[in-house]
Amino acid sequence: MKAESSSKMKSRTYDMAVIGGGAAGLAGAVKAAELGMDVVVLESGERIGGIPMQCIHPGFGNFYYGENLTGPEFSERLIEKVKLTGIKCYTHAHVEGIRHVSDTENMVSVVMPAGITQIRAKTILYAAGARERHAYEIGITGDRVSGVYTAGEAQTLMDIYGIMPGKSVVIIGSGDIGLIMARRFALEGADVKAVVEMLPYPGGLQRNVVQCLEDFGIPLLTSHMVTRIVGKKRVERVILAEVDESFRAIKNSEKEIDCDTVALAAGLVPNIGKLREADIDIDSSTKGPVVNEYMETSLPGIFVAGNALAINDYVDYAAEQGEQAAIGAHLFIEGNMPSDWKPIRKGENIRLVFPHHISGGRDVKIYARVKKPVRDAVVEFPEIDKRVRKRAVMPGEMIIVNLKKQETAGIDELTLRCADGN
Amino acid sequence: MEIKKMTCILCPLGCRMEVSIEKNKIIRIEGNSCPRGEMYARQEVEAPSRIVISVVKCRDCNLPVISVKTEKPVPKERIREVIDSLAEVEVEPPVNVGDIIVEDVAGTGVNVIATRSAERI
Repeated sequence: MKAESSSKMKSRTYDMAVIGGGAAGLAGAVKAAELGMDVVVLESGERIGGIPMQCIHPGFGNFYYGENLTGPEFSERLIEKVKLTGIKCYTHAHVEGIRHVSDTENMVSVVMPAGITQIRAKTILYAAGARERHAYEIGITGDRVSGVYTAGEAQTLMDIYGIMPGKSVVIIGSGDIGLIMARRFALEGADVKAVVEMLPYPGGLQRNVVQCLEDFGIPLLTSHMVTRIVGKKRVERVILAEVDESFRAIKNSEKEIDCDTVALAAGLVPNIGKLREADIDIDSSTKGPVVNEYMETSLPGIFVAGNALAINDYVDYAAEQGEQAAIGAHLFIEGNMPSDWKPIRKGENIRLVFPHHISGGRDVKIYARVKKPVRDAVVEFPEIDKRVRKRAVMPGEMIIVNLKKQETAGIDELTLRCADGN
Repeated sequence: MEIKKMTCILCPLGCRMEVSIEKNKIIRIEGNSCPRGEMYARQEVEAPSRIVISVVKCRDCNLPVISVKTEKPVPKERIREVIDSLAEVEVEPPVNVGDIIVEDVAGTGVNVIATRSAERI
């Protein structure tokens, strides 16, 4: 807010207001600027770069850059491009509301250190990421003591601020974030007592089970849940129990683990509060907005990308979605957005699929997740005889299907299914 | 003969493999479904190595710490030494991504480089 007075901002109409300066938002902003659009980025945190800035392990950029980078390296490349293209970024900028005035005008109400202001934009790219599920959402009761963190909070403390959250740790949830934080704690000298998982199998990639747990001798307790956190001022121990097939605690299976810290890696949920208030259509399986192939929501000109759209496996996908949104916003402003959309439906063993609508007029990438693991799987769109064979599909690993323009020309709808290939 | 159990990490299949070792030599690999599994098993038995990541203190910086990594994988059994030797490291700004923070860390022959940039406050 130094360069421009808020009154000047009010009178200006941006081509695109990007909400969220993480991977999806920055990749989208850069793409939009490259297409000649006038862009502003609104970031609520201290700095742009997003969550990858605290994910200091490798595994980022394999698809987007064709290189294996750490999170900060991935984000720094985007930040570099933002600087080169001269995109205006406001930090400490909290979006308080979005108003879809008309199909060519949106008002974003922003709280910034300089005050409250309204930003007018023809299009919006909503890239506010995800939030972490907390203890109360997964049925953990007990004392309200210090030492309970979400995995992301613990990661911020350690890898942004250089502060150790605790000495002996129980991690709840064995998704990739839980596994990676188990290793991170162990590397910095904490005693990681256990990773507790409700399902009978680990939630994260095999690679992370091996390199984050087995490398450090960290026990993985599957089919277990933490039922209670106990302590006076600080966490002193957790009470856990074995669970049956319907995830109910089995009587007399309770045991205790002494620890001073609990890190909750209980999953992510798209952070779409402001979009919900704007009354867009939501997909109950992704818990994010319903979108077309340009990541446009049910409100014309409002786009969404990254973990606000759906929880992605890789930051690379978030960045790609941001770019698609920028391409879409450009078409929208030029008045060239297609109007005829064909639905993509969920068939056998598909838990979620997006984008939800395609035009049939260009190549498009389909992201999906299965409900159950299948070996020697066939992933297919029966209507167009499109078949992809996979050695194994798992709920924790997104399926990507690239559809060519010529494959989808003339279709009315498509159904994605995943069956046993034998 | 020693039998080492391991899980292949190269694809979601996660083959459970058993590697038979005699006099420090692999004599049999079982359980893999493809040649990549065999390659992985050999690597894990003969020279398991990992990229090591951490943070180091940053004096007079806009950030209290910056993230670092080993430029190449280091032998698995040296991870602890690498981490311990980073505990005392303090860098000064400016730091750019890719800058060498520690040369030949803990005598591994591998450099530790910055993965995040920092400016002077």
